[in-house]
Amino acid sequence: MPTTTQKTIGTSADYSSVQAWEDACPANLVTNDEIWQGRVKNETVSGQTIVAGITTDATRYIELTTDTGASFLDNVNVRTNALRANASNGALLTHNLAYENVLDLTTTANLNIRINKLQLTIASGSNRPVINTIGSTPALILDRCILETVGSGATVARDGDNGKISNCLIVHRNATPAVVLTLSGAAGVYNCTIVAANGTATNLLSGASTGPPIQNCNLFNGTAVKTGGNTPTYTTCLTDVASPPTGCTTTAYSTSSGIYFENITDGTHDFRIKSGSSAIDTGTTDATNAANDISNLARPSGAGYDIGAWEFSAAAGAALWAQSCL
Amino acid sequence: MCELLLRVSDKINTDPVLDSKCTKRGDVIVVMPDGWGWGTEELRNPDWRILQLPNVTVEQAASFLSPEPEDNPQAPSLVRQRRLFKIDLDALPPVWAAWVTDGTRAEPMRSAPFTAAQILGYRRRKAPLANPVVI
Repeated sequence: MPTTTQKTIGTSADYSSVQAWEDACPANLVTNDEIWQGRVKNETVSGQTIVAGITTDATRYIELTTDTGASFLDNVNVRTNALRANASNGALLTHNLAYENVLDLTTTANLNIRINKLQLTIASGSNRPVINTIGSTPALILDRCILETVGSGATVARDGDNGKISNCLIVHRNATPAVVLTLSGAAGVYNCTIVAANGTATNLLSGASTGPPIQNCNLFNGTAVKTGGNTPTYTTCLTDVASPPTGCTTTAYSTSSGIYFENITDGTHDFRIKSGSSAIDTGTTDATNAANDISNLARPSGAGYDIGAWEFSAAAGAALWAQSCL
Repeated sequence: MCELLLRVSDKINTDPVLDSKCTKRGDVIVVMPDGWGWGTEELRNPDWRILQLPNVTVEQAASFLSPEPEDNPQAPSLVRQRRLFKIDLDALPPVWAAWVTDGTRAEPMRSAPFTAAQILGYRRRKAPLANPVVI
């Protein structure tokens, strides 16, 4: 049973930067029988972090998460907060430097790394992805995160990735045509909401040397669901793209029909779904990859799993409606 | 005007490819503005020191963070190093030797009156590593 070494990151913490925390990680977590866990405090931590040079395996890995109570999903108003990156809601990793990623995982093959409960953004300037694994073959497991960029690079770029992405909001906000999420390897994508919020000729997905599963995903406001590479196996996905691939159903990108997002205006966007959404109860049951939504609400919260990162809760909606009437 | 988190002993991975990605003695891990609130582990890790440089800007020290470039994209090196440059700790004035070797970190941070030109004068470009032989 590996030992988990927990270290805090932020102000008055063990480490003041994610990069220093990474550098302090033992070079070989396998021989140490250790999990190296960084817990970001409820604040904004700036700068690029390169994770490299560390021996890991599936059970002895690097994990970057939040400190107790520090995540956006720990926020007392998580069910009513707009679903977008917002430093006021919880821990956030960011930078605004050109040619840099927030997390650069490109130089070490077979890196086992888990990232969860965090917000990761590129605030401006960079033409690089928020998380980049191009050129390596990491097992990146990304769960319940919000990833956004206003830079011109892809929001997440993966290559040869053996991990998975689940219950994440992945948003591209730049006017330059790009890709929201680059796929590769066998890595699956489960219950994610993937949006080109700026709506400028951006493809939602690209790449994929094999056909990874894309299940229960909302894929909206792009030019195409996917460009290049092989065709993934789509299962119960929604998109506003006409003539979508098999496994995807077309529905309107709107706040008043189809997907019924709360707000689709870039900048004030809010990708929670609301009553009437075609995503409600129409997903595939998957307790392995999507037991909880991005707000940590247990699925299903109705007759079935919802599609996308957000699980609609009629009870919560009714309570809020009642509260608003008081 | 800036502070450097500096590695004073090698981080070693027995895999030569992974080892090339580890920071080594003299490598700068991060550059922060002066007055930075360092973490408790950053102040006591025996492998690190914090060098305060009141006469050097963050921008002037940024070159210490540069990775080794890829000289031949057609045949990329497996052992491209994380840092292109290091600070030659052995070339620092003798008064610094005890501070660098003191693993107890009795003085976790030290201010140096170096100008940008002086600290860059201690900068050394690392030699490229040979690709490991694969049998």
